[in-house]
Amino acid sequence: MTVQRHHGPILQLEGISKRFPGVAALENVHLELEQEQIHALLGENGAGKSTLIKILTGVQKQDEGHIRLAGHPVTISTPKDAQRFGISLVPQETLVVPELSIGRNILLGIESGMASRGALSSAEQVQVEAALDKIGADFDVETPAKELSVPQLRLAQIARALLQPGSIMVLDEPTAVLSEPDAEHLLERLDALRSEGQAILYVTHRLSEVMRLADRMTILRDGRLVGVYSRGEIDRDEMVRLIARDVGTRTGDQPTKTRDLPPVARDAPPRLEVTGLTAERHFADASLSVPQGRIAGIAGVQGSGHGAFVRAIGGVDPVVSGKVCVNGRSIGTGSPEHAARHGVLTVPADRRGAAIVPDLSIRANLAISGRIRAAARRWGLRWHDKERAVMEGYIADLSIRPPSTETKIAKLSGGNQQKLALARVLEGSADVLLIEEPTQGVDVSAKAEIHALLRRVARETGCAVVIASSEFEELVGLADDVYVMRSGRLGDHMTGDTTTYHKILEKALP
Amino acid sequence: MLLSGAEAAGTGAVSAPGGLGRQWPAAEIQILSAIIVLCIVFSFMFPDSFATTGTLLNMARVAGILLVVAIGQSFALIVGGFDISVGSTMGLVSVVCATLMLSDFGVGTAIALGILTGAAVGLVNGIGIAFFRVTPFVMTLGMLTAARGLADWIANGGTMTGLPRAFAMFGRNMWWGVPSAACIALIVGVIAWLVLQRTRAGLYIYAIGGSLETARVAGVPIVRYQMLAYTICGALAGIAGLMLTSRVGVAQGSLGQGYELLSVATAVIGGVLIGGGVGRLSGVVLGVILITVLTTGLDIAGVNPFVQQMVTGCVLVGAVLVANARSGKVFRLFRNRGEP
Repeated sequence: MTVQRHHGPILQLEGISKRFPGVAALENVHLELEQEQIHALLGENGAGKSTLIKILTGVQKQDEGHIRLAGHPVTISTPKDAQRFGISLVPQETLVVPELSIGRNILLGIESGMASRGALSSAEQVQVEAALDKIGADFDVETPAKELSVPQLRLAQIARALLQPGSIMVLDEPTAVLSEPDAEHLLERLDALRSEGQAILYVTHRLSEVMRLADRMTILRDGRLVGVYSRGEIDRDEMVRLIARDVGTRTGDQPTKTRDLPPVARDAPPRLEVTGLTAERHFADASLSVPQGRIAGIAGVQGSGHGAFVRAIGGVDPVVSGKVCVNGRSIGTGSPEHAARHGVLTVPADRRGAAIVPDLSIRANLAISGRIRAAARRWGLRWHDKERAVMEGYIADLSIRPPSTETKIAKLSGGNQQKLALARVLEGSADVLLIEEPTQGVDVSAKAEIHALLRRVARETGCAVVIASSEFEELVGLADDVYVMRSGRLGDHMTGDTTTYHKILEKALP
Repeated sequence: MLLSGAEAAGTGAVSAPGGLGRQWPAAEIQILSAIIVLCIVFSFMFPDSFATTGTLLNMARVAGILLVVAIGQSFALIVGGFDISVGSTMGLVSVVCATLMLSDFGVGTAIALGILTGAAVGLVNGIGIAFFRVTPFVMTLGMLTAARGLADWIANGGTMTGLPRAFAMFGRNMWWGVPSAACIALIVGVIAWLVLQRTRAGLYIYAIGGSLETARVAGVPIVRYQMLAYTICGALAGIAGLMLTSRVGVAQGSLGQGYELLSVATAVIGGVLIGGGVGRLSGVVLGVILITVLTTGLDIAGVNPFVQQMVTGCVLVGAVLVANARSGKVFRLFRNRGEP
């Protein structure tokens, strides 16, 4: 189906609702996209932006509501349908086959007729070069994809979207991992595409960008539509206010009480001190210091580098320069094994991939801790009944369901898996705990338990806890100190008693 | 009564709902049933040749050697790789040990050095794979070729005879009324089970195979334990090489050919996952018994050896299909339509 030129909105979403077990991801959301329009979709993490895009591109199906293309109602049930209706998606990740040329990558799966692995045919070359020209990419189509930088790959992805028929382009956080100049360059190109008749829907966290570029913006909050504005109708403060969740009635906006802070010996070196840590493409020159028994929160929106920073402290990700000291002694960087030996343990956000071993039992997952207590062993061997006794303590303490030490951990809910990932580092009796997105994909009650656990660990064991989170609400009330990372820069330190959700949000949005 | 008896039996029988006591895993039950069915069928077809003590003892000897290799292979598989050089390692150890014995080393010394040779081969594999990040396939394929070459070179491409009587006998002897090969396999099996279940090394080998990244982030010394797994694999291949040499009574560079794939096949039939992290020795034991019963029965039936190979191949793929069906993976491709 080709979409003819048509007056009025080219795409209309009417009353879209989507529910997942226990949570309404979208509730009666409307959106209208016109030709030659850049439309920004704004909202916090979990506001429903991704779900809306998934519905629009056929990855998920709405429970209620209609989609109209140029006035005609359509059903989009697979990604192929979306393509057929002329809706092309530029995903957040830059996925390529590294060994193939960028031209081949751009055409992958949408080649016309015969395709070979080798050089592009002249027709293909003309086609791809035209698309690359349009977005101002200056690399050769035969360059191997592995030699291109992230911004260049991003441009290539947009070129790929341009090659597909249709005039609706959906971009999921196109500028999230780009530096300011690269993002700027990309936005100029979007501007040019708009003048050529493309309708562009894009998801972003960067408000300054939106202010300049977007013709219209739709703001979602907790799955509901909270406002649709044209350029110039609202200012940045107003935008932040609308994006912000209504947390006044919940505990989220209560600053941390500083009364229960443990005293810090004045002459003792801080538990954790990070100086000038820099990692390529993620963050630069980040320093912080955490005394014993304190919780430091690193707030940041997706792509700001806060998670990478925490992983780098734990040696999980490589760094270019910088120093990490524990109790005043430098521990080196780049090796989690080394960090673990100095009592620095990390729980990364990629739970299934890097925080648990899915096929092993709960007990085995906990026993991986290299510093498991002596009570679980005798003569250097594992004794299953002794281990079980230790693990049953955790299972009762953290109310794991089902309460069996022998269940495969893959069969548990995300919240239980996360609690067990934390239990493993607790069994390691760490000096420094580094936790990335501690409550991602976790239900409300498990969330509260995890927060309580972290607070207790810091206070009782005196270990320094660093939490990277893009859910700002959880940092308020949990962290004793909050740092905000924005586009790879760590700045804006706030003490717990002065932190509010709004302040974090204000500083975190680029 | 029933429950306590089952507990004493080690793995536990099917028990009360609610999971008191452990259960026989479904995979083992299926293999065991297949073994029983095969035994019954062969016994009825060839009551005079299959269902005899002689055949049983012979099967125990064959299975013993295969089991030792398969257990070694399981270590390599569980850590997330595999070792196709075990057959060559058997040949190399065979001629190294024979050379030592023929040049007046004691039998005991020769055996010890033979096992060490196997461990050294495994260690080299481990260094290449864990430290230099050569893929297991390429590394052990290279080792397969190189070790076979070295073995033939040492033996001058021929057969070495005149091995000491003490050595030749142990492969044919009965220990406590059981063929020595089966006894050795039993000892190896118990030690391997202890290592996998009762030591930190065993846990780490499972963890590395199950999720390399999780193990790395948790601070597990990955390189060391990957090397350990391949070293164990090599050492057990060495022991199997000695067992086979003793059984046939001569040393040969080409000894052990075919064991590389047979060991992978039996382990996989027994539920060890290629890719790592999953597998139990009980399954491997049953896998070895199944293949041994099958090949022995087909032998007795006079089935063409090439047809036997075809049957073994089909059993391998069939076993994996059955395992996948049990975990609901077979039709995943179709079910996922519409997902990205």
